[in-house]
Amino acid sequence: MAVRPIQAEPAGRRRTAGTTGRRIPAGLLVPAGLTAALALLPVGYLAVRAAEGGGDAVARVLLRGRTLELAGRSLGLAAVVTALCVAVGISLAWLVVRSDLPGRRFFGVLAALPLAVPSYVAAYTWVAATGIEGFAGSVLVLTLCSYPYVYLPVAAALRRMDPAVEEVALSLGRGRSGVVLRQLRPSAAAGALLVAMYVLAEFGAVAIMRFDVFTTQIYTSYRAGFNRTPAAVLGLLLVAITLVIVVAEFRTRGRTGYATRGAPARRLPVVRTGGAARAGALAWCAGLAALAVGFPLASICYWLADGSSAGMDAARLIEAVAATLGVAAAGAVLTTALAVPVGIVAARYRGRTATFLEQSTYVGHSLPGIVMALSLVFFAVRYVPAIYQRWPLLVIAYAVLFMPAAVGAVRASVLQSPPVLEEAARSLGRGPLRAVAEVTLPLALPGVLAGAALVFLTAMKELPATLLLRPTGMDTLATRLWTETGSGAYGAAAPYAALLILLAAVPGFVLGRRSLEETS
Amino acid sequence: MKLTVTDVRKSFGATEVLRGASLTVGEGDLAAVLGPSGCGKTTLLRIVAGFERPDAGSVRIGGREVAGLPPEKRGVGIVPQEGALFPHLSVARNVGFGLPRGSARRAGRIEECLELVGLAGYGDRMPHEISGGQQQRVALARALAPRPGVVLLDEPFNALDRSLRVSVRDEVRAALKRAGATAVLVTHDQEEALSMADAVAVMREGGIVQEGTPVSIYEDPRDLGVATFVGEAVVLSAVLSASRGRDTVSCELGDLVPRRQTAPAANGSNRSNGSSGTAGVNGAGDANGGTGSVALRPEQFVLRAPGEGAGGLVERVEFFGHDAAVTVTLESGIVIRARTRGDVPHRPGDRVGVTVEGPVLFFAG
Repeated sequence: MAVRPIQAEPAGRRRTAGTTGRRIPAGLLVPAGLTAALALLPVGYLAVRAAEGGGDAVARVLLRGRTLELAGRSLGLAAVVTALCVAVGISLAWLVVRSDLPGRRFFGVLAALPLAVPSYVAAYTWVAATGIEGFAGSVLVLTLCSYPYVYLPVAAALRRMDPAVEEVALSLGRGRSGVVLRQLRPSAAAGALLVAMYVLAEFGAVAIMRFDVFTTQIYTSYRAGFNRTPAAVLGLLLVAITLVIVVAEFRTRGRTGYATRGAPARRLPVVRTGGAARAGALAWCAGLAALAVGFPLASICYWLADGSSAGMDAARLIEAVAATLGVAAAGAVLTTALAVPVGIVAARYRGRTATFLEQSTYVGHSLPGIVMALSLVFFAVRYVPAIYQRWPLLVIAYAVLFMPAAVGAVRASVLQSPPVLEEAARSLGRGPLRAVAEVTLPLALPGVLAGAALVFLTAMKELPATLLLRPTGMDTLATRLWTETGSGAYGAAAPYAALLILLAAVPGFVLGRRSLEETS
Repeated sequence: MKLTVTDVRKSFGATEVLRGASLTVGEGDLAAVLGPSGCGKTTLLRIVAGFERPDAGSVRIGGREVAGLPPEKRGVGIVPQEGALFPHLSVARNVGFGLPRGSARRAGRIEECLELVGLAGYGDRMPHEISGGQQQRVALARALAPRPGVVLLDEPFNALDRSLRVSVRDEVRAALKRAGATAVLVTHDQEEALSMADAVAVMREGGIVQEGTPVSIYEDPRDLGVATFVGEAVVLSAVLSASRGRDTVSCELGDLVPRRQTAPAANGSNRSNGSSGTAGVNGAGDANGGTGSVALRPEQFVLRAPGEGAGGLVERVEFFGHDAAVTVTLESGIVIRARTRGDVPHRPGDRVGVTVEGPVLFFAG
């Protein structure tokens, strides 16, 4: 008889999940504090830069009508894209994990793939083929590129949901959707937060769609001349807006305990669909896959065929592949290493310090890559010239940019490991840090690695920060692609686009597979 | 090792969870802390283990004060609810978790502990490959392996189904005894506490209200609350009177003989905790008599022919094989439940007479 080791959480134990008064041990506090400091560094520099401009200059930038207009555009775009991503992500996750849709494993893999399509590539394929641009074009491209940020965590949450909870709701005469949605809230909210910040920081796609928002304006201001004050002020304003979103998300998370104890449920009830519902669901999944993955691929194939006359420099291509893999891997390793202590603190401790440490890591991500990069350039030039125009600076930039994804992955997977296991380890002679290292981390490892893969994936297609921080003479696939498309050489750009998508599809495929494994 | 908890206090915010709880467990004893949910028993356990810091009070293990020590320095083994085995480690590595690595005796001690809980040869299994009862026993072996001074068991049989619970209980008790361990079992299940433990401590509202052997707690509860919590009891209002050196308790079931109670002050194991106790009732002590309540145990009721004792109507007969429970509504409307032999001749609707056998528990107030 195989009895599942641990099940729902009895009332008396809830206290253990996040004891308020507990002190964070120094072994966690110090590295987490360093991570937070690193994440806050670019913002701090921006503030210094803005202050150097003087109060009058700052006020002049802030009070311009143009600034308000840009704020409205940026926020409107973020709101619409986030809402659409939540709807698309949840519906796809539910169909893939819980319905009997034919080919749901296949759709599950496909659904994670848009992460491999850089938004600026997608934008270009749409502009070139249909001429769509402006607000509508930006919404279309950004939704298709970023819904996996909601889909992946929601699918994972659906999979580990205890079916007994749903059965109880059904037995009490309630529908299953209410209790399911309630349980999905933390993962959906975390995904939505990522989407909102991603859209606010988006530069390439909106620039191509000719939709003027904060980031494009900041870029223009930076490029415009020696006066960096307007760009710094606008950047700070964007940081402030993101901070509001982070705080709002934290509020909705509330005090409910979401920790499930122990192993995920072995078998989830599958919801039967039939007739028109099934046809509609199939059309929905297939249509999304076609728009998000099929369309850009077809476009690139067309370019490859069309542009073969442009000729291809194989040595250059290989060089760019090696450089891309190298910096992205270094970025993923550094980001994950920095994220682990913060993620553990966020999962296991409550109180002001824990909240500050977690939320500070989100701030770096809300800086548009271009602003963050310039901020680091100036910081490096002034204080650490040794790493200026060297790869470590680029890797640090990746770590600051992609920290939220890694911290979220660590936090979520640490939450999955019941605190009572750490207590058992403590009673068997382990100190607080060794209990985490020997029990919690091994159990959280799959989730942490998934987070690392996500960072690797995102870093490979990062454009603005890479453009500014790469060592002289080094080209990644993304920067080569940008250069070629910038000069209208679509044919010459196609091999880079194709390779970039192929390379990025590998971890995407693994993520999709992983999210399906337990359902079989 | 001997465990002594003295006057421990703990508040979470404005909620006072422990209000001066004290407990003594002798070396090699298995003590049960019995109380309803929310009485603070799990908090008391977590303070002994070191997962919570008491606001005041002392915790001594074998004469060493441990209240300020972190859990890993206390030598306290814990068996959590549902075992909480490390799911990524084999049974053997779970059991060996608390043993010094690389020591020559490690493998031997693991096998020894598995044998102790009757699971020799299971070392290579993973936790999910064994049953819930076996997981619980592995958790015990894991706790016992480093030879802790005290082993704490937190409602360890809750997750097991009823039939399994009794056998796992026996195996756990036997293993603890073989290991000679001092152990504290926290439970809300009075049957579990009474049947397993050498000593029972009844906990209520943040304090231990009575400590003693299972028999003494059942037969000599210090107040009505303990009487009704530990074992079933029918409570009737009654009047105590004394004449010619003999006490009588009068209630609707007739004149009964009160049990001679040991005075709380004279018995070290009976602790007064500020609630209204049995102070004025013990034996022949109080000549003035007074009103109060009697608590009647189900096995004290005797069903007789109608006309003998108080009249009543049989409502329900529950047959358990070895015995039976008969629910009777008395003429006054009071409902009693009587334990009788299995071959009960009564059927629902029968009229019966009810008398009470043996000395009864009387509590003033």
